[in-house]
Amino acid sequence: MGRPTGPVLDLREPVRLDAWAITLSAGIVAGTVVPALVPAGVAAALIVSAGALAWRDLVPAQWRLMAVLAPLFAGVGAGISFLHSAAPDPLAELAVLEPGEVVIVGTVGSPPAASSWGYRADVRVEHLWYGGREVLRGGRVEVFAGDLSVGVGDRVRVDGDISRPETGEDGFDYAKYLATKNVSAVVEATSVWPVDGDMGWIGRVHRRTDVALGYGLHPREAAVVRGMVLGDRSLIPEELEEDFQRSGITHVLAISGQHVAVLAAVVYFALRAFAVPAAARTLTTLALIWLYILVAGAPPSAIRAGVVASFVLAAGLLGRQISPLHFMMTMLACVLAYNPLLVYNAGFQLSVAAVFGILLLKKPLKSLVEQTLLRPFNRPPQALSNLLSVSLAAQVATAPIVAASFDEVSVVGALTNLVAVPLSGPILTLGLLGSVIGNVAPALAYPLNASNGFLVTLLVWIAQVASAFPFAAVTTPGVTLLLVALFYAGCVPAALSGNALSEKQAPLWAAVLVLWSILWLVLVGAGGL
Amino acid sequence: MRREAFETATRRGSASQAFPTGAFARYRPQVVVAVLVVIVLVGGAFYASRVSESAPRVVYSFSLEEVEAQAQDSLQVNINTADVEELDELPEVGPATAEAIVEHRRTSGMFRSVQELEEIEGIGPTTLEEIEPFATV
Repeated sequence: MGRPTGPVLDLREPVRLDAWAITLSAGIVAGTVVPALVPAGVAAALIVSAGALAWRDLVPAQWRLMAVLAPLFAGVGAGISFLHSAAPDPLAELAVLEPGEVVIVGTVGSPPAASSWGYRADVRVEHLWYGGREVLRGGRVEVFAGDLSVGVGDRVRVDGDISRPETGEDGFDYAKYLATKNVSAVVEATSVWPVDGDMGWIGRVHRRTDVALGYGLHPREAAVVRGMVLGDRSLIPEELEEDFQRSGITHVLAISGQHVAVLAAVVYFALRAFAVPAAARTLTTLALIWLYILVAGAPPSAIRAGVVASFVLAAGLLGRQISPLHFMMTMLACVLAYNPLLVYNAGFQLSVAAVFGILLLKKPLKSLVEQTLLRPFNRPPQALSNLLSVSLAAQVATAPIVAASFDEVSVVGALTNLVAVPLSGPILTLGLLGSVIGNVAPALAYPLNASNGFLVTLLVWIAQVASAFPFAAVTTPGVTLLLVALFYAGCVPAALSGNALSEKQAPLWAAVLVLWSILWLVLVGAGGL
Repeated sequence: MRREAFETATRRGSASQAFPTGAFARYRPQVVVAVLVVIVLVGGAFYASRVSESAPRVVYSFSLEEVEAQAQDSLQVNINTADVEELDELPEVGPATAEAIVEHRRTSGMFRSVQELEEIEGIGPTTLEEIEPFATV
């Protein structure tokens, strides 16, 4: 192995700075969610730092520099959250006044989705006029309109009443949800017109994908593939979405790590088959991943996956060690520094929790699965063992967030995912190929889409059958932040047993984790907690 | 070997010799990288929150107070010029009372104050209290 070029810098042991990202992220989260705790947190970091400076044996030698720098990272994290929260938002201030009709010219930022009142879509504001004068530029609004025949990237003129989003009757804080997407206000539009026929290329891609998937696919299956390929679920029937949710496989419809991994693998290995040099291969794969994320509307889960994929590919190119846990923490620090309010976004929370769950809980759960369910096998099949443990780890790690966000947790998810996850890989691959080839040679798209149609029918059938069971999902009303924290506290021993504690105890702690999850769900479902 | 070298380095000097002495020189690459990472992230946060297109900014010094006043104006009904439909939007004023206001205007001339609405049948002190914020002359 040759020496890496560039500056001579070795951040591996004996000097460990691995905790910088989680310290900085903790500072951002504390500053955003509980600002009152920031002084206490920074003071604690300062005490640790002073202790490490004065007392050599206070922390292990390799972690000493990290302990000394802890207040810097924690303080900067809190500072970043204050930088965002103190940023002026004249668009929100205007909306609070409910001044009446405004005229907005901007570009559509998300695919139109059905809402209780017609359709809704995000619009990036370029110009905002009020009372015949241009008063604001920049920012985002959520536009509600009876009809929204527009695509992502289309330039539109919106006439309508601007206001602040209201909290729903069920207590859902719509303003906070929209803030996670940098949306400051809502506009009830009386008209939405395209400006100068300026159609966005992303919208064109979406429309052409619809056409391409129409070759040989039934509209319902095409809607599912469209959801999986583009992350646009607006054409999926509501009852089918409900089936996906009850059966615990909604995540296959959201653009996340799996989608990015499949795309990256297809592109990377295709380029390798054509003997493309490593640097060009990596850069092309990276470019295509981010292009795909842009086309899919850049949802938080996709951005998370894109950042981690970039780290992984860059590490390979630069000859650096791949450390999934450290990459995840670094991703958290980077993404939260860009938008701390993502901490409130359920999609982002689920995506992060699932990956951390897989990284920290898979190992103990795998040993438990092999010693219980797969005990009859002399040599447990690794593929099945991995699939079961990954599915369980993701289900366990996301359960409290699903419970708090959707008031319902799928019980059958651990089983349905055993089939749904392996199915979603080929569906996505064929969907991507069908979308591309359908635009170039429609005749070739028919066999691809027909094969995909069979797989999608199977996926839909699984969702419908699993969701039909009366025990498919348990309702979980009124889950609070404290209950979520309590659940994750119960996960700590199992997470440590896979990494820090004795491996021999891993199956025991994994069993405790499974029992704790069941107990938590039963108590929360029965309203006992 | 590496760990030993490191441990030897950390033990250089007596126990009373605390961390700072020469330590930052030894850890300069790590500290430089840490500071650079912090600068990049803070810079990114500053750009995202205040400079990028997602950050709204005022382009015309149309004060928000002015907008508030205009918004308030648009909610107020001039009882001397409003027609029956507009008067009907006032709180506790129905079509019959609105007609009565217009009729009063025709027979007795313009209102000199909002309080004169009390002369209209169906508008008492309580109703007038509710109407006042939304009516003007």
